[in-house]
Amino acid sequence: MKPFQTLVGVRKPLPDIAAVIRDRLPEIAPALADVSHIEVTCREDREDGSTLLINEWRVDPKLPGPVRQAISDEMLGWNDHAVWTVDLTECTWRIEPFFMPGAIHCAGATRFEPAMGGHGTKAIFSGEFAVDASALAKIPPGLRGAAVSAVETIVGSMVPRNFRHTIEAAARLLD
Amino acid sequence: MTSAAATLAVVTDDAASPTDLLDRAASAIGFARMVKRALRRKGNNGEVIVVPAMDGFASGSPAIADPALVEHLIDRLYDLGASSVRVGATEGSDALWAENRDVFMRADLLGYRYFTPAGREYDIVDLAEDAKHSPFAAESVLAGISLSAALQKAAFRIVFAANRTDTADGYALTLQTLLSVLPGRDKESLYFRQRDPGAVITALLDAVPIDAAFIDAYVSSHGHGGGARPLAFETRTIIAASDPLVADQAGALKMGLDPQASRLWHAPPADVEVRTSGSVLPYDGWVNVTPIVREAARRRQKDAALDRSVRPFLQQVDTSLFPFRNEANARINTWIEPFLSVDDATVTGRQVFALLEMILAQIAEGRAAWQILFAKDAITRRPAALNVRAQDIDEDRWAGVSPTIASQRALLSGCTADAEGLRWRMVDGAVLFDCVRRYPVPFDAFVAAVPVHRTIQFMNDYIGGEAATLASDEAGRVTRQLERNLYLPQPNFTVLLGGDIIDVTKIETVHYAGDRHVMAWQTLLSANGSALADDGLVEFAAVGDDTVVAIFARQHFRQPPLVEAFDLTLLPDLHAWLVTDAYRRFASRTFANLEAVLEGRDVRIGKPAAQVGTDEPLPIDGLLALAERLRNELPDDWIESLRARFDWTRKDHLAPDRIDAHGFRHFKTVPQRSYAGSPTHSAGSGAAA
Repeated sequence: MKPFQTLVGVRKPLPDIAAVIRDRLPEIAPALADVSHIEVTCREDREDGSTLLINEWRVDPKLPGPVRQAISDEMLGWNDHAVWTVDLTECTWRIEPFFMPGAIHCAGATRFEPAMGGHGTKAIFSGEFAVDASALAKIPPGLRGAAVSAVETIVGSMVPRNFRHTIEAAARLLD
Repeated sequence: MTSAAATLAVVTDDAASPTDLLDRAASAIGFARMVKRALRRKGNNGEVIVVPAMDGFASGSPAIADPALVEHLIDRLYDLGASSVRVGATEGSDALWAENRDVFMRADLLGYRYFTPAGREYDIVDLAEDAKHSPFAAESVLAGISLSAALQKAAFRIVFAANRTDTADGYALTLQTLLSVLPGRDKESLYFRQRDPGAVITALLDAVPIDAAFIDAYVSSHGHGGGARPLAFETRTIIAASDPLVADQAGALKMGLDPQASRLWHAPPADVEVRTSGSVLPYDGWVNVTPIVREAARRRQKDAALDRSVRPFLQQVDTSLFPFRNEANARINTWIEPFLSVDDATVTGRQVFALLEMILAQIAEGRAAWQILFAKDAITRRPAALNVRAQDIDEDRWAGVSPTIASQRALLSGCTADAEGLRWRMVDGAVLFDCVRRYPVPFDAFVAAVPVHRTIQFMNDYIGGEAATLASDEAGRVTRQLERNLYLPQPNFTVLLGGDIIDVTKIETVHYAGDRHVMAWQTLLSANGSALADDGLVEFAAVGDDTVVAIFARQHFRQPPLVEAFDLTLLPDLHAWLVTDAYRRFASRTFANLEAVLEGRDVRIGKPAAQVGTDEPLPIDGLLALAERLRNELPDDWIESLRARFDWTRKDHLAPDRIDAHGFRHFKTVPQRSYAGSPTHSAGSGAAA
């Protein structure tokens, strides 16, 4: 398991920024590099006031030729299962990639806190990522541990950076 | 601004709380009286700006003024009648490599709550956001730099520093904190590398006088690493003063330092009476940055690219609050951290830090020498504001320029020019020389393309400066101007021996006749002492259908100590050879530059200097952007493409028939298909280098 955490501050009030992240994610997609589109495939407003969302992310990253050839377009993306609290201060999420389904575990929570005397928001994004080594069948068994570690490290730094870009793009949407 | 009487309080008490110490220090300098007097002034807006040291990288860092103390002071200001109190800062260069470094988020993460312990609200402001108007005079070192309107209009201004050591300046107290009001992220380039930081502080204090200065020395930051590697040390002291210079003087003395250790320092006027309470005896157990590290850090900071690259590596950062923008910086910082631990117990850490600074200083100087000798376009140009005031120059001085230069030039009469039109001789330790070049260009066309008053800017190795026109003739042509010029060390090779930039401020007069334009100049000042004299004259004259350019100069540059130690005049032949070679180069390159200007080409060497509002990417970001571009532009199978290019064994690759002694590859002509479909046959060979 590779844990990751990042803190992003924006000069927008919590209710505004969190509402954009929850409700207007598809509008943010064009501002994110390598993201083709985001589609809300399920939304359920629960009795306790929380909201369940499933967002389908489709990406088109620039990958090395051999890697790109091994991954079909359908595999490039993930389902993001998110549950938002009624006060928009927390979102717990889980990601199901279309590539190697079942072999990748990625889950966590995003906490939103008021900042800058109520003029801004702190978004604390934390989670963990793991790859099931046995899923890497094409890699010699002796090298799988190192490969898993490398993938986890790369993803562990990439995911928080993309989260920052998402929050910043959401803030721009409010300008 | 320094007043005739200043007050200073140094309050130390092991049993007192930080806020109690602050109240006692404020009371001892008559803070309440000062604030009330300012707020009673006619037309004041009742606003107070507090500029705290806020450039730390962790909550609770001893390298920042404690936000709780600042908020306590804000409550006192409201009690005294302030209508609003704002905490002001600007972004620094760290915003280029660390996240959450904008003023608002940084303030929040460092502990500012936007309301005081008594529940009053205050605002945090980015002083760059409302910086629209420059209060600085044309001859100021900060001419053209805008300052926050809120700061300029405030009824009362306070600087609240942390008590900390600094790797380059020994200490960083209120004067260093005051720099944070200036706009522009790359403050090291804008206010240290491009300008004299001491002059910057003087200009700032003239434009926005500071009414009170505090130093939070309750928990200080001492040690070799300065603000980059803050080391907490309980000194349980608050220093307060009515003048930041007085506060810094006391702060430096408490550290056991000569205040002159800092480039920002200048002494308060001698006639200022400082009413002091408390002791300026040094703190027991205080650890300063060693002089050798200070010196190395300053040398390293001269190289903008290197300095900007290594700051993220050297800085101790709480990455949970301020993550690195760039993964490479994060990894190097993490890797280097264990080697640089600089607490009292790890002498090794200190020594590694000192060694690293010395290595970086050597690299910086090596790069500078390389650029001056072999890669002048890589040098960053240096803006240099005029540092003399026109009103300080009397009429006699203006009138005397031309006759003085004419009499100096007369001393060359009788000297024979060499084959390239150069003649020179030594007079009073200065080199007098002149050189002439004829251009086959009509005079009118020549002077239209090459304005004579700008000639100095076209001379060889000019890397920056500024000129101000003070008088023009009826045709609008410049007749009097003041000019500051910066040149690379002369001769260039002296950079290897410690040669410095030549920095000369000149008074210049220009005369125009029908077939002759002449500019004469005399040295007024050399800010860095690099020139004892750099006087001269340039003359454009019509000769038939051509233009003749004559340049005369009397130059006496201060050489580096190692060169000065050898009196080359004891070896007259060598000396003559060196002087002739240097001035031949100067003449040929300057004349070539004039020719280029005639053709409309840009002759400036170097790349533009940093400017407020435009951030040059960090070198590492530039490299990553290049890698990204390659990643996008190279074909997916670029390895295969590259391999195929050099794989002579491939059947579809045309192998040369033979390679001749000059490296030309010869091929047999390949039968080509005609458009009619029938192959044509020809014999012979082609060649490709």
